[in-house]
Amino acid sequence: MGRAERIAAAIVIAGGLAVAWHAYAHLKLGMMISPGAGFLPFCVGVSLAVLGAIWLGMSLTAAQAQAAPAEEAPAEAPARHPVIARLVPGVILVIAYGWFFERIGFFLATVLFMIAWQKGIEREGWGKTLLISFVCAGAMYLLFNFLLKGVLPTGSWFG
Amino acid sequence: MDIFSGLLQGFAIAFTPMNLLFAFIGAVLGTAVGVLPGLGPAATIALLLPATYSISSPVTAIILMAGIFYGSMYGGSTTSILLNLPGEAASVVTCIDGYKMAQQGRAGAALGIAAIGSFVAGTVGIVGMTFFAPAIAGFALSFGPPEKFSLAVVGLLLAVTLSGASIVKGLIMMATGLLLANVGLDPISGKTRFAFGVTELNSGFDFVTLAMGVFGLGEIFYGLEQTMKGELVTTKVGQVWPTMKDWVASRMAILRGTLIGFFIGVIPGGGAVISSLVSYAVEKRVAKDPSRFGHGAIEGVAGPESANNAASSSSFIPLLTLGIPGNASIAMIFAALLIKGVTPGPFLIQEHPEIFWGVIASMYIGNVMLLVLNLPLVGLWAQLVRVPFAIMAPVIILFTAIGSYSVQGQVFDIYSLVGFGLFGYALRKLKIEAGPLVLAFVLGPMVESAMRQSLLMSGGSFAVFVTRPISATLIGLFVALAIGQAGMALWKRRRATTGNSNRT
Amino acid sequence: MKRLAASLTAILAVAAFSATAMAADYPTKPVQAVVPMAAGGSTDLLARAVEKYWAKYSKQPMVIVNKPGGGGVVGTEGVVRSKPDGYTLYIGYGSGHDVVMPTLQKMPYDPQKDLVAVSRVSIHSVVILAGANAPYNNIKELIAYAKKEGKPITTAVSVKAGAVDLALTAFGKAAGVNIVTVPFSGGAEATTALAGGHLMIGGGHPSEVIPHIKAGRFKALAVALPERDPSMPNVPTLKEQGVNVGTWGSIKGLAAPAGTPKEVVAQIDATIKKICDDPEFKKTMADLNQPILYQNSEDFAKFIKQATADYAALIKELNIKID
Repeated sequence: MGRAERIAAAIVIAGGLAVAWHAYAHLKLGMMISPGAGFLPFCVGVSLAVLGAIWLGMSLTAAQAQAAPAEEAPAEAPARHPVIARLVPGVILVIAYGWFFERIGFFLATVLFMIAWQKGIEREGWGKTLLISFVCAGAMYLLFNFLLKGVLPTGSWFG
Repeated sequence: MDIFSGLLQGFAIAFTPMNLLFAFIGAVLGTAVGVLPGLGPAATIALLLPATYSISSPVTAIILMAGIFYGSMYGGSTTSILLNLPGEAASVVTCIDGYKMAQQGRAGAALGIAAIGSFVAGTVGIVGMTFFAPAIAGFALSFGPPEKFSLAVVGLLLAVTLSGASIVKGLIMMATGLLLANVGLDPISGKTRFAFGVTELNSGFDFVTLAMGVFGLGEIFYGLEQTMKGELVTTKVGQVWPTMKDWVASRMAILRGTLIGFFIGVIPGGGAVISSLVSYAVEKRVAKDPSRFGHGAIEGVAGPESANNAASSSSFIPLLTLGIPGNASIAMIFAALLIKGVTPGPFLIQEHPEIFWGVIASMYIGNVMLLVLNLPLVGLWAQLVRVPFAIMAPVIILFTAIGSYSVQGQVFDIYSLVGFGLFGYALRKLKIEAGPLVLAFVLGPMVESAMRQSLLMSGGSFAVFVTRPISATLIGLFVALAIGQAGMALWKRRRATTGNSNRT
Repeated sequence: MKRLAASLTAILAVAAFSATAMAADYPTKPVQAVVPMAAGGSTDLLARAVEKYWAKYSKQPMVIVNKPGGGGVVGTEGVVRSKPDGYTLYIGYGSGHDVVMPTLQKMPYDPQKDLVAVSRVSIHSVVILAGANAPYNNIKELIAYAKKEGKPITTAVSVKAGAVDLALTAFGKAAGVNIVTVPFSGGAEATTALAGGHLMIGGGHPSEVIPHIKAGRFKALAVALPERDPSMPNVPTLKEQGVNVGTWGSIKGLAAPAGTPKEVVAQIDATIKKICDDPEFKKTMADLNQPILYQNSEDFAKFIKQATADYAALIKELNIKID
């Protein structure tokens, strides 16, 4: 926990500085009486860097106060496996869904997504996978064909 | 024509079988799109615009659309409470205590109190509208850029109070929300900020995509890592109805929320969001034990839910009396009326009294329909938490993906949804509340644009914020709140340190 | 070899035939019309009105799709990249992102080369407004007031560097008045602020402002077109009042992706012409406060070219830059 927090704080500091620099160099700050496009982003960027530094400081003092390694080790170890087995494939599947969405139409993409999810992430048997996938996709097709007619890409099927 | 005979005529119109039927269809559709993540009332009304051509009478058309609009406000709380998925900005606040309640097995109580609060607020809102519409309308117009700036600044300050344990983390979230809102076209300078050549970013991130990603998808990603084959929220369904104790606790919160929502909801642009924030802050302040908030306090659901429903009623006032649409859904109703050859505005009540009073009367009826429709559903929704994660998670992902695509019709929004989902996951891991981020995203553009517009108007003089009475009052309130907040924090810290030193 | 040649000829013949047949039969399926603006706005209302009467003159319905991303660019780009077969059209051709934006910034497509003009339906002119209680009733009095008071004139406009902003800035320069344009996020917000009396004057399109004028909240000072706007025939132009400024406002027409068969374009154009002549459509457009100013495909293409050039010259003259 403590280490993740320190990394996050470092990202906040770096991000804040990058934003402030971009706002200063590329957007214009303007003057106090007529602030430009970069004025607010600059202020926010600087505040982020400052806040990130405070957070980092707080996290460091908290880590010193406690015996940090002892509480970190058990929390990290069991979390590693499901991240790779479930979270990463899950995220990839959603991105793939977006990629296929307009190319093959939303119904087909939905069926494929459900099959991949049940098979790849939940490790269901084929029977259950196909049943769940077609029932869900069919229900969604009926619902969205009614609610969002003309908005969703239908693909060459179900045109 | 006086109010009572007008209202009587309105009820005569609203009670015709055709209009009753369409009010009912509107209520059902509204509840449905409110419950379905990603589908909002504005998009639904837009899709129904062509269908309204075939409805011959403009009253019937607007009764249908109004039903969808306020019906969706009822439905919107459902996903916030059960799935941590706010459907629109005004129900972000509901997530905080509502979702906690669901996790504690009190989903039924939260849903029930939200439905009852919505009914009370909606009805009181319409009563207020019946009697005070013209007087309130002037109040809405008196909000120019300086007033909007001051109001949004107060809203931002209240959003910090949602930051949970750490104020620093809350401020970081708020700053991040402001930055995300800065992406896209800057209306004042015409420049595109932080788009880095991506055309889809020119119009900035969409609120629905951001909120569904950070809250809903983040929760699912977190769940993916936590569960192997578990259930989504909890196995506990618990008591389906609010208890007497819940009711007593939320009674006053509902009334306060209603009043706050009615007045702030009139202000075009952001009124409903700010009213839900104000209501939450007020409840936290008047509570005997403010520490319960953020851990499933029922007043934290009852107040804001009442506020946003009262606001949805009162947001019709500027449309019907001034011809000014205050939000996207109302703008759509405005468009439908124009196509029907009816111009909403100050002459509506004289030229088309049947429309003005018919709509108001139908709103009374619609609210009763919604209560009757929603209360039995509470039990059903509460069972939703028992659907296995293996089915619930992909279905929610699909709904949010399709929903965010449908807003602007671009696949890019599905990718940004995933990005916000991962961000929400990180926040969940770091135990940071996302509320201030989402609210700053909504209020940020209001603060920035209004400040720069005000300075352009005043020739660069900051005095404009304190020489105008409404703005000055709000700024005064802001200063008082900020000092109060800081003083409270200091006092607490001092007490904590003395407490510690006593113990050691 | 011979057989191959024969079959090739046959394929070509079929292809050629189907191309003409396609044009003759058009449309055989619903036509998708993309509106790259939000539903409920003035362009969307125009599109909905066209859609309603399209069904009367065409075998197939028209389906409106709103794609409001990127200030209009995303939706328009989608049309540019779609199949040029006449089944994907763009409604709103001639808006700010077609005729003003190309001069100010880089575009992902060329609004003139990548799109073919089908027909013009309307022009949304820029009207200069004042609150009903303002101490000036026309442009001359406004100029006199500004010179006497010596204060900057705060002006509500819909967006920065949009048609309204350019017209008002040009007016200020030509009349020697210190106009400070205050941009909002869209016409509705700008007119609301003006209605609240928070600014001195404002600009807007007739469809947005006529309801307010009828309600006695605004008075119209001038129209910034070269000629009077048919939807407000009583309001004199800037030129009539001695200020030599005339802009094209925001133009609203239909376009198709470049490469759409000529016959198909001609057929859509013919359908739009019939719609524009329909008395009921005229009534609907009058209710929407949008004048019907039809132009055929060829004239409209020339008009877009002219308008773009005029705006480019104006932007150069006013020295407006966005980087």
